[in-house]
Amino acid sequence: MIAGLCAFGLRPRATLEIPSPTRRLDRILELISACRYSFHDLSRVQLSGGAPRFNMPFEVGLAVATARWRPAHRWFLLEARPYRVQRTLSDLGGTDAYIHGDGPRKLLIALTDALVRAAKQPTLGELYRMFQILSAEATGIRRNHGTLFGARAFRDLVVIAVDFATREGAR
Amino acid sequence: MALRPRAVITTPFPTPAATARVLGVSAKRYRELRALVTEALAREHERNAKKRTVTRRRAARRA
Repeated sequence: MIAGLCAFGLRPRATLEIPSPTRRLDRILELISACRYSFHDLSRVQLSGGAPRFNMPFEVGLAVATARWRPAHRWFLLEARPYRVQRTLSDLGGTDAYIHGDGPRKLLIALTDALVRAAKQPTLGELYRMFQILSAEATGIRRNHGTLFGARAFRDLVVIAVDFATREGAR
Repeated sequence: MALRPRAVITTPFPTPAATARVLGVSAKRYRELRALVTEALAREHERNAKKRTVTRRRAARRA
C-alpha cells in the first residue's frame, strides 16, 4: 500500500507514525481530517487473542462522517474477497469495495482503478517494481527496528518510497 | 448500482525532504535512507545490465 500510494504521488500517513501521549482517537481524527484521501482495508478485521479488532470499521465510520462535513475528503474501501463487505458492513450498501485478494499485485491493480494521476498514470509494472524495491529494503528496516509496524519503520518506509517515486518521476 | 469512488490526483509529487520533515525523520536518518535508495537503484541497474548482456549473448548464439 505504501509503495502504491507513493507511486501515485501521495504521502501516506498512519496513526502509528505519531508516538505521542495524545489520545489515540484524537490522533486518528486529526489525521483523517488532515488527509484528502483515506483507505480502509476491511480484510484487516482479524482476531487478536480471540477477540475481533473493530478498529478498521470504526475508522471507516470516522472517514464517512468526515466526508459529510468536508466533501473534499474521499474514502476508499478495500476488501480481500468480493461481496463480503455487503455481509459484514451492510450499512455501506451502495458502495463497492476494491478487491485485493490478499496479494500485492491485486492491491496495486485496485489502486490503479481507484486513483488517476492527471499528469502521468504509473503503470502496473512501475508500481510492482516500486513494491519489490520497498520489500527488499523492508527486510533491513525490520532488522533495524525489530518490527515493520512501528512509528520509525513506517516513517523509514514512506521516506524511501517517496524518494524512489521522486527519482523515478524525474526520469 | 453500487459505487466505487475514484480520485484524480493533480498535486505535485511530495519531495523526500519535505516528507522527512513532516514525519519527523532526523537529518542523519534521512541521509541514510537516501543512501539506501541510491544503493538499491544501483543494484537494480547492475542486475538489469547483466540480464541484458545474457539476453544479447543468447540471441547472438541463436543467430
